[in-house]
Amino acid sequence: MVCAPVTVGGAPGTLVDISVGGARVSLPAETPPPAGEVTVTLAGAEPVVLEVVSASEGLGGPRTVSLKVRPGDWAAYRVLSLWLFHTPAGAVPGLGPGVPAVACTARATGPAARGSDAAPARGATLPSVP
Amino acid sequence: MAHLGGVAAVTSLVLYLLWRVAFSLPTAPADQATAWALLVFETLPLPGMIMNTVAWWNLDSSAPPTDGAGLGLKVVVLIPTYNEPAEVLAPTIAAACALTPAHETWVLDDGDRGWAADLSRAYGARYVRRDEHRHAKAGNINHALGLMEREAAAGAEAVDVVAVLDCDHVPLPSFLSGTLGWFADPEIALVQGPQTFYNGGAFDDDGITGEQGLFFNVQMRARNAAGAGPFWCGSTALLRVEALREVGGVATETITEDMHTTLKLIRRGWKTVYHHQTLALGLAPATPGQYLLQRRRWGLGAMQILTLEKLWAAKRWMSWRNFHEYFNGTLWWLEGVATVGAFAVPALALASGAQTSTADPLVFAAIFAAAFTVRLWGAKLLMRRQIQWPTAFALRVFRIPVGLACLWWLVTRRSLEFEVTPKGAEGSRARGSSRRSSSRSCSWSRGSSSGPAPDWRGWCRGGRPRPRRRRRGPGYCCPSCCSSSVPRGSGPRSSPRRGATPTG
Repeated sequence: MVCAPVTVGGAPGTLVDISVGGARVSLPAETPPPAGEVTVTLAGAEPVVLEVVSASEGLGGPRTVSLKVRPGDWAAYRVLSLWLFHTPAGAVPGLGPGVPAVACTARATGPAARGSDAAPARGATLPSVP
Repeated sequence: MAHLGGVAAVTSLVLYLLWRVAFSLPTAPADQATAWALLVFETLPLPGMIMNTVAWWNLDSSAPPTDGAGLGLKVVVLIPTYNEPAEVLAPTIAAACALTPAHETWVLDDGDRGWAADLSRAYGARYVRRDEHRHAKAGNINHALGLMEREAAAGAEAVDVVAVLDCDHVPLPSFLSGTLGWFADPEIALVQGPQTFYNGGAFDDDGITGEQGLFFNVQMRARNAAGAGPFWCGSTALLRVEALREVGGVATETITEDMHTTLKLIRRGWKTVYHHQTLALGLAPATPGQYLLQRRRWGLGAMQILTLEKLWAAKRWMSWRNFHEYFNGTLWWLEGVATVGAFAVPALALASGAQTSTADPLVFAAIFAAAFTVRLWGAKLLMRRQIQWPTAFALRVFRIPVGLACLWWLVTRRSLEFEVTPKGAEGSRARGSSRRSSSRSCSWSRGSSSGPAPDWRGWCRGGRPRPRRRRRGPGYCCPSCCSSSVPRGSGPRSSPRRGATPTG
């Protein structure tokens, strides 16, 4: 689990999980469910366009959105890879300087992780952050 | 405490053995023969314990003497790959291209995959393939070295250092900037870094087996001493091209090319160092099957080196420490045979009906248990707590087939096939042959992207003559350490082909 600020289609959210091939983001319940392709911006990284795999209804709680890299979008792979392994300083709250986000090993335990679509979408989180 | 632990472990065994000899041996000739046989068997661990206590007495984690950026070295990062999916390959290439100081990144694709070429170019890496896929990863790297030499001969800037990364080992920003300074010493041929894994929960991650932690946090650090330099572990390493040329490129006679190449380097007087800083993050074997497959390859490769280099014989160019590290290190892979013996010998002694001890059974049990407990406690301290005994014992039993396979290979000396740990290939196991013959063939040969290949001896001729130096270098056993997890990726793949580059 990596908890970090992120924007999805301009809406602020919280990163729940991320991998080279995709991400899972928790959005406030009042945020309209994203669909199709959305621009995702990780802290300290260039924006990338990801494909929405699924989005929970968010009834009474945060909405969890699973996103994946579009096939052949090497630029997106690159941005996510560098964010995971060459993590910009301060991008992940609580992570020391020089420590990559991929070093985060805590399991997701929050409501977003327990949601109905907490399981990563196929192809969305590979290799998954442990 | 580590020193105390080592001394306590040795002392407890010695005292136990002395007690056995002085107070518990039977007097009847037949019983005495069986008791002595058992006693000799119990003595077998003692030399290893003493050697380990000496070898692991001090650990060293020094930094390079200077900043490598000012050395003006031309560096190429090599990423051999074969059939791994984009999810594995992309982060490695992206991170390698982002490294500083300025360098080139070459993707050595033995899978001839078009998407890998696209990916490489998109990230600013150079894509290299070859027509003939011989000698697996070693041949793949040698092909790249040949290409470098031809281009240098044609006027390109010569490459000073190659950094080798398995395709799943994603380099961290300090991979080059933190290590190139070692090459200010013109006698250093190899800088090896630790291999750290980020797929926690995998069968062979550090937290479960303790093997990688013990190897990289204790054994390799202990070898940062004169005459005990560490060996190349296949990935997360930098090598001086001049040194590689001098030994004819990466060794192809065995299936553990990294350790074998290091042996050749120290024979020529080159030095090696271990840089104890996390430089890259990789994927550990995820399943028991992958673990055994990998260990079996390492073990069989160690047997090849043992016999090919006749490591049991003293050599002028090898320090006592390296002799110990290499000889006992390769023999270690026969531990499965010893494990069978550890079960069989006491059982046979019991079944024989002979009296092997005159001590009261309760007294015997108490003394044995006390000595054994002190041994485990002391050894764990000596190993800087980088071992978990229950898991270590379980794995030792689990690895029995590896030891038996090594013994069987020593008997048969059959040709070995390079069995690749699946790494994103969904179980498709590639195979390439590695013959036991010591004759070297032209391993990097005839690449389409590189024109005619030089004779392999060209490497030796190409290197400047070097005076022989004092023997320094690596030792020990633990094999080349690579990784091999299989994240289920959805990226494009190509089907495996015989002889292509395994990186695991």
